[in-house]
Amino acid sequence: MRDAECVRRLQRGETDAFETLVRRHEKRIFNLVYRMLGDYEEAAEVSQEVFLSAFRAVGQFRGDANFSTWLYRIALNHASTRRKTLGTRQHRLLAIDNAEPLSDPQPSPSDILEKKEIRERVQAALNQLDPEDAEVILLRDLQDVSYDEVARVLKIPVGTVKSRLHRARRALKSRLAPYFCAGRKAV
Amino acid sequence: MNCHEAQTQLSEYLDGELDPLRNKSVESHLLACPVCRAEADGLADCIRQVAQLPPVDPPPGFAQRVMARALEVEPSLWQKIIAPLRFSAPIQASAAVLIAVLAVLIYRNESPLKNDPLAPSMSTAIAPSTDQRNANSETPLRAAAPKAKLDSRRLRLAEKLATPSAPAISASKDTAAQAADKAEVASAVGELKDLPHRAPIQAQEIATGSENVRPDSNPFVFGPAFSAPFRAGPFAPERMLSPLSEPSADVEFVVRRRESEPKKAAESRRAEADSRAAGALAKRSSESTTPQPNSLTEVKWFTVPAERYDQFKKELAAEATIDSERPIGSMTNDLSARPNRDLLIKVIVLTPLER
Repeated sequence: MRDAECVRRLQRGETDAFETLVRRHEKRIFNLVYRMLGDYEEAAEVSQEVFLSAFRAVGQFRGDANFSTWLYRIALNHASTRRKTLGTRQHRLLAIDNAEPLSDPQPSPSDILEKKEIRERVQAALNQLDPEDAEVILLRDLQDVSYDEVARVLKIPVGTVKSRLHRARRALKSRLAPYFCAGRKAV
Repeated sequence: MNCHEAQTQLSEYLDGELDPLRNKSVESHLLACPVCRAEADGLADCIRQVAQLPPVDPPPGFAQRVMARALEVEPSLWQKIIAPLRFSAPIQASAAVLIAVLAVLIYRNESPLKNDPLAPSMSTAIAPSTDQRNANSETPLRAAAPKAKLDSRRLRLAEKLATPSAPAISASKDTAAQAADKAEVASAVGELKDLPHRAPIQAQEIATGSENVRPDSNPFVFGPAFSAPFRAGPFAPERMLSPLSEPSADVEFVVRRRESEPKKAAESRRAEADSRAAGALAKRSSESTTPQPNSLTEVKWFTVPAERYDQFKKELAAEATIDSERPIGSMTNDLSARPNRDLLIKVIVLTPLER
């Protein structure tokens, strides 16, 4: 069942359709929020609020955009709001260390340490970006959302998406340069 | 293509978003420019690092918790549609009930005006009690007017109301030139227009404003100078403030105090009073002499129910010698034949004749 059909059923009061939508989008939404916040527990709470907000407002969803686009918008609004209220980023790095699974089944200790350090640096750099820059990077580079959809999610023109994305990437590069640019070949 | 143009398009180039022509131009520039190529490599590293961030699974049972909260805490879509309707109805009903209650309260507050237009004006504008005057002290007219002037105005109005047949209504209109009096007089006149449809006005209720001090069971609680406690005329001190403020009595008595005598003699004389009372009027008219001004000591006012007029007269005769009894205005001698009517009696008390 496609998102549009689930939404229609949900709008008719068939709440089981919402569960389908939640299960379909929970991972992407959770990862987006998690990368925006850098804190697993915060991400879990905010992600739950994202879906509850969607459930409350589904009556206002007119179907002009994809449900995923609409859900991304809600998620980024919640995440940006929560991000502003959070304090220092330092504790988030610890949370990231404990939360992230290791994809390599048999990594060497040096690989583990290196990848862990890379992830921490990248997440720290993302957290230091302006929320607008982080949003566009995460949508495009993490979620692999097209320019057009990014424009719809952020409600900005595609040209603005391009310029903002280029500015955000350069900002991220400048923050990661002290760690990666010199020994980029090792990454 | 220069470096600036190439670098501004590097993100699109790395994302494969450039059209073939621009893509080829950037590619050619990067091959020729190591600076721009290093910049492109740096951006590509960043893109790769973000893209390689490992996906993180949400907490176990995330979807179930969301559904539980959505279904248990949050209303369903149908509830969200119906709830505002159900909520607005009680609000409208509450508003209607509130309006109804307010209307009843307002009606109750104003109903005395509708039921008895005379009552509030009499109690406030003409003859308020002391408490009422204090309570209404915020009234600008009353607060500004001197007490004597106010009392005199009250008495004039009381006089007009006590004598409905007198031409006081039109007179009051004429004398209402002063702005301060106009509203009050107009109010009284307007109320007097209702007189034909109303029960006869009781003089003491109009003039005294002290109705609440008279118990119904014993209307005669005044008159310390007489054995029978007839109700002393109200506002007696105020009536003596000015001759203009004197109301027109129904009956005027001229009596003369007797000289001090032993108590037994007084009592025997009082016993004789009843026998004298029958022919008192004629007797007094023949016996009385016009009191000399210097012999007039005081004027007392009494309010007496018409049916008790004879009793009053007997008791008066027991206490003093009645020199004259003079019905005034439209009153007739048969004063006691006016039920439900209080008589305003003026008693001129003369000093005892010197022997």
